[in-house]
Amino acid sequence: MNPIIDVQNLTASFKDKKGKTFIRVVNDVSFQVQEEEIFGLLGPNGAGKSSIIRMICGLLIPKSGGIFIKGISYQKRMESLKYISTVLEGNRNLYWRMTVKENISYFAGNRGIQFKEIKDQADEWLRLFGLEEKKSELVGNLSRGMQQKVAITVALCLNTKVILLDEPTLGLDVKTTNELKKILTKIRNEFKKTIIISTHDMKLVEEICDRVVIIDRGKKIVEDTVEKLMELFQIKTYAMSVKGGEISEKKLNRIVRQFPEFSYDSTSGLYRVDISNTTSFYAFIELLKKEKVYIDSIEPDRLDFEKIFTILCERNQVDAVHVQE
Amino acid sequence: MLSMFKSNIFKQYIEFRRYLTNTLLEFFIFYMILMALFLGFNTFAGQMDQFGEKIEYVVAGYIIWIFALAAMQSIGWEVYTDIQRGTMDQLYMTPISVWKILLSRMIGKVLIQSSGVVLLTIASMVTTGVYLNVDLVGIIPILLLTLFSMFGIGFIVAGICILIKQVDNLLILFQFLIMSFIYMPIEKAPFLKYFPFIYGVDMLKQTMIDHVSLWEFSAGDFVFLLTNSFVYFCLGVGIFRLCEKEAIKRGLLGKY
Ligand SMILES: Nc1ncnc2c1ncn2[C@@H]1O[C@H](COP(=O)(O)OP(=O)(O)O)[C@@H](O)[C@H]1O
Ligand SMILES: [Mg+2]
Repeated sequence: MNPIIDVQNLTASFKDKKGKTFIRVVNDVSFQVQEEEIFGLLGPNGAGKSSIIRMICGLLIPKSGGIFIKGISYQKRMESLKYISTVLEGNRNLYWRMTVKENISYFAGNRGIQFKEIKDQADEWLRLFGLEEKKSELVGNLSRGMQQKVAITVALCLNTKVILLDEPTLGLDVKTTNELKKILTKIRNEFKKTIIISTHDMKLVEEICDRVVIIDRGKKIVEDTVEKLMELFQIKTYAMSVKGGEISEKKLNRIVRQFPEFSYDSTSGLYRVDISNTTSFYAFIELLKKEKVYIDSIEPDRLDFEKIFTILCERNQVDAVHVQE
Repeated sequence: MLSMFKSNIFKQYIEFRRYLTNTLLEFFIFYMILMALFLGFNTFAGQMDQFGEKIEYVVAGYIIWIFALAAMQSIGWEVYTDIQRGTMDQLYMTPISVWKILLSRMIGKVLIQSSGVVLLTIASMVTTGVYLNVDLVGIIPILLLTLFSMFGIGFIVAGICILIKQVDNLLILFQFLIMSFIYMPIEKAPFLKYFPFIYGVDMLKQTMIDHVSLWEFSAGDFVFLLTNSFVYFCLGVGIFRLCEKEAIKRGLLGKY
């Protein structure tokens, strides 16, 4: 199947603060997005995600490399931009002094779509977002979360195959974030949209994305299905709790010294153990016995993306050193 | 394309209606300034000859100036706020040239502003007793032609706004620059006719003040006006497109 978005060896650079040298903020990144996929672009702040999004949606010209949208090069922007609509980072996508309905009508009109053509559809989206009562409200009077939903509604009303969302959950509360996750999945499933999400929120990727590219300091460090990535890291790791709840710090230090794959996760209050090396795992059990630590429960760890991400970035750091040598 | 045009005209109308009190206040201020000009002129130049002609000159110039602001300066403010608020980026992600969107908005603005200008003209004529020649048959075609060179300048202003972003002070200065160009008598410096819109403004003044009717102008006048407008319109669009290209290259869009 032909990808709907094909990014090839994309590079972007900006002048540094002194304006003398160029800094590469996106470095030779390639990936493909298939139709009807929810695709994640994950990375820490400053990784270059927004720059990639801006190049795809025509706001920034790549230094080198190619972007093909439905096979059409980004250089033919009047053609390629027909297939995508974008909600950029933050709350700067709408006219605050116009109502929700006026915003929809205005942006649709700019794309040659008359409001009456999409009225029913727009109502449906608004209902989905729980915004049907806010239709005649000025966007500036809405909460941040609602503004974000309206911005996504506007993007949907433009009837494009692909929707790009840059940090869609940034600044939203937990409830709105969860709502948004559900709706985005629904939009893909029922309305057959392709959704590309750039985010540093690992939970978001884990919960709704099919595939993910992880970016760090401008470079792609991994591209895979979310499922595979989770599997890859999950199997080897177990989470355990101990009788008595906690191991004293002294004991813990002693154990970790001999068995570095063991660690304490203060947020969950659980102990994490990597058992990929089975022989040393038996030694580990012996060690626990000796220290009079008794396992209360042990089960495959719900290792979250954050951990995977940290591990991958650490690896990337090692790689980066190799490249320089 | 047509729906884009309608959409942008409608946007101007929405804003006009939503800020109706603001707009009315604005016109009231315009009116007060005009009165002040009139009174000031009256006291200072009371004994002068050809007084009537001079005050007509002031009033006509003032009215043309308001039109010129709608055509040239307001687009600068709009681009400025669209950039500050981030919505300019949305326009650039639309598969349509932004200059066409801006042109639609300028036309919308001029259409809406004309209703105010008509009111202002009537009010000022009634209160001052200085009656301009409101020969619409003469004024409308000349104004339409002149407007296009003004739009050209509007595009240059818009282009500068996209590149520089912080242009508020510049825009305030710009409106006085326009004013001085409008009041400048072309007879004193004939080379001025090669500047944008000045020749058209002079023809408008002749119509409004000296009661010159449309067919009293020569074909040469119109050819010159048409060429002048065409050249400055194209130049404006060209410069605007260069500015936007540079802005995209420098990564100025979509960033805050
Ligand atoms: N227009 C610009 N001029 C200079 N530097 C920029 C510009 N846009 C982004 N950058 C820099 O590029 C890097 C990547 O930024 P960005 O793409 O926004 O990352 P992310 O979205 O992953 O946080 C950052 O170091 C940022 O400071
Ligand atoms: Mg970003």
